[in-house]
Amino acid sequence: MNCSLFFHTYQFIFLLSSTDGFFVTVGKFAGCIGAAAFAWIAFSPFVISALMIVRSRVRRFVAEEQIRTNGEFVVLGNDVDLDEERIERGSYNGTRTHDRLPLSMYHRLVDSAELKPLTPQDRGGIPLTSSPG
Amino acid sequence: MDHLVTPLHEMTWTERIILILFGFWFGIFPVPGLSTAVLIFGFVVVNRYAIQALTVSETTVATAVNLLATPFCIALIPFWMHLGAILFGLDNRCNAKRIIDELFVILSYLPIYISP
Repeated sequence: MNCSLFFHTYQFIFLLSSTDGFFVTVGKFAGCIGAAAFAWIAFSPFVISALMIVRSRVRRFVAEEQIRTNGEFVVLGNDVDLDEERIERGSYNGTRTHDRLPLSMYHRLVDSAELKPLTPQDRGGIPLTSSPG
Repeated sequence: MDHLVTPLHEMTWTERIILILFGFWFGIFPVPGLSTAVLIFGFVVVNRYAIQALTVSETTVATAVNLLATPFCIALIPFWMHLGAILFGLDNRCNAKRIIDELFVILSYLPIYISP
């Protein structure tokens, strides 16, 4: 039994290590998968950049539509990075309401804020009223 | 569900399509099993360099799409291999069909050597 198993294992290893055997084919396959991965990587920066640019434009458009129709938009989340403006204005702490914002700050706010369409529930959030410019 | 369905309801259609495309693109990375790791790397890069960082709900949606795209990942491997062969000048060596046929021929010998 043990001899038979040893013999078959030997034969199989011999097959795998033959010139045109398993390892050569697997090697070719791995090489081609590598080339495929590099092809994907080559296209990725273009695809991801395009998607992120479209996403940014869409969010800005949504915010501008909200301001146009409702006169305000809602900033949610805690990723609003407005430290400079906060210091300059000395008032923004993420919870207070402001009636007007400068256009540059508005654009930066749109760029950095997590936005979503206004709903009645959002009225209890952080409303920011802005002039569209 | 709260992390997946609710954020999807709150998004606009354009945002949904962009996120689905984002998850799908990483899901078809032509090395099966590595696509999620590559997606996480993508999150890091996007959050570091993009104007707007991805939110938690967006990453959840993209990851779900990424996992669901696994069949497409496997199905598209020959396409990516062909593209890689064109890009790297390996035309005669990266014929996916021929290589897979060779693998099956070799594996078909297995029962002969394993049988007692």
